Amino acid sequence: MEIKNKSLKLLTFIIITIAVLILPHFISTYILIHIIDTLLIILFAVSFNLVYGYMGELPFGHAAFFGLGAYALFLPVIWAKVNLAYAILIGICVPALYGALVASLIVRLSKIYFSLCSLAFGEFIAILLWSFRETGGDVGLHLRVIGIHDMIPFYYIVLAVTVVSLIILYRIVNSPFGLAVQAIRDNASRAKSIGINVGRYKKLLFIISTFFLGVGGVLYGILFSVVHPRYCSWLMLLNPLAGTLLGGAGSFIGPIIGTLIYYNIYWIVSENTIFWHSFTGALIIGLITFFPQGIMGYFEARRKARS
Amino acid sequence: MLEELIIQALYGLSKAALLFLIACGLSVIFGMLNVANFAHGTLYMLSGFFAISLIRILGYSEVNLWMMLLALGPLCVTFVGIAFKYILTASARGSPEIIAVNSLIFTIGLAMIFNDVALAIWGADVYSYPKPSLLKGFILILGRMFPNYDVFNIVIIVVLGSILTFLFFKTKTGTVVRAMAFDERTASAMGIDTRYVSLIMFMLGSFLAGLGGAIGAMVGEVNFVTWEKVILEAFVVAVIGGLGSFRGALIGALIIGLTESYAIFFFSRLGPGVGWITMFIVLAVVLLIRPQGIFGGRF
Repeated sequence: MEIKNKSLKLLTFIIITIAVLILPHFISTYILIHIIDTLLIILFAVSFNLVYGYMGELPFGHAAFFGLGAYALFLPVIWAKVNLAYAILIGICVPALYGALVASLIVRLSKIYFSLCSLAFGEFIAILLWSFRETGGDVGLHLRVIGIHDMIPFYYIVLAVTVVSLIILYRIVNSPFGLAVQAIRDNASRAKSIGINVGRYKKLLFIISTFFLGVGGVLYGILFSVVHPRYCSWLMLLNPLAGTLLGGAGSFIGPIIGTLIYYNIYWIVSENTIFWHSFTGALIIGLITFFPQGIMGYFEARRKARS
Repeated sequence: MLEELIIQALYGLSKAALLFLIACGLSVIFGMLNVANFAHGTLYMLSGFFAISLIRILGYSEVNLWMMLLALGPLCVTFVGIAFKYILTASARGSPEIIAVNSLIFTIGLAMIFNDVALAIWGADVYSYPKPSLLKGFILILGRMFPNYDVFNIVIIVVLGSILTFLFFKTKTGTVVRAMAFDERTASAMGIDTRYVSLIMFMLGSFLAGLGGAIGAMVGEVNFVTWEKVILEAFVVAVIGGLGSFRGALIGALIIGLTESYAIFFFSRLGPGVGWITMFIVLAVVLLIRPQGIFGGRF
């Protein structure tokens, strides 16, 4: 099934591009919202994979930055009547700033300690936002930025932002910086001995990851017009985590494919039954036990075996 | 004022008892098997459910209440814990560090499944366990009313804390457990049946979590999302004390219990989450000073 012909490849690319561009005019708003949702979860999964796959640590509390992006957009608009454009800027910057704080505290930890401390700092945000009435408390905040009829233009905005972000992230992980980070993942002491500043590289990667999570979170908040402390809790991480595991952590395209497949199945499941937790849970268990390399890892191994 | 502070300290101890019961098993199991059991909170939740359901079947007599509370509820989850142990050890492969992170992901899945099991069996209702009459009243401490329930908790942490400390540090069994936590491979080479010992410790950890669940069900209500809150608290306590350390779980529970109690006393007007916020602040401070936890690396 491999497409060897270059012009055929180009043709496929053009067809997909046109299909994606004209798609919103042929489907109902309900499905369109799901598609925008999927795009943002893909951005989430790829940013998450930056730390999980490329740095080799599980950032269990990463959802906090996603939710924080939405909160940092909503709070200034609701309480200080800040102009929306500035609010979006705040919404993108605050998660990265908190990410810098968290990164400086936890990059020296590794493996399980990293995961648990990341979780703690993430849950801290969720609890903080949950416990004050000014931040919406238990109910969350509501802010209508776009109406239900503006979904088609919004789709194009999200598509553009996601694609540009993915291209930037792709360039980052394949830059000398990205390769250095992968070297640290594979052998930290060796990377250190050839002069890579391990702590600083890890910190920078973590901050980049949280920055794009903030971007995704802002758009997510705008899409659904609400934010809730649950957006910051680790439960929000389950879908990107399952998508990343399915597609294969450590490859760039893996989380994108995995999330595309997983999130649509998840959508169908969660529309039809309240027992979607066990679907996600069973999938995560199966993947981590029997298929830890994911789809892309599987193809990679097969290609290596053939050559 | 001084009396008030002492009373708050007692409430903190009572809170610490529950934290200790759940964090102890989590921490010791991590030390022995390198498994970060995210489904440990599920055991806590299930024990509450089991105790409540059994008491409904068997009737609300005083003896039954005590039996459920101290024996049957925790025993039921001990069997669930054994099942967890076999599933986890069967699926674990790779180096200890990889096992730790993968088991975390694995047990998240497990916890999600049990979340739905609880939802399917007990529904989304909130349940509560009736107190035995001995725990219903109040006693007077320094001229103030202090609930019997909290006295019971304090007795539990003092008694269990001393028994377990004696067990781990003064008996031969304890030496075996500590040896395994220190270096499982060498312990195995010395002729210790590591699988048997880790099974016993898994049972003990599950039983303690179950005890915590049954006791906690008397004041806090139980429903199918209880485990989310509980497991977070347990992990924070375990990380503060040092993952894998029994003394760490005890000290961590005391620190968190007392600071939370005082924080709620002094800053309660700030909102309902003030206990949680101080808990995370304590965690951040401890991590800054000692990233491996207070008793990190020691049992």
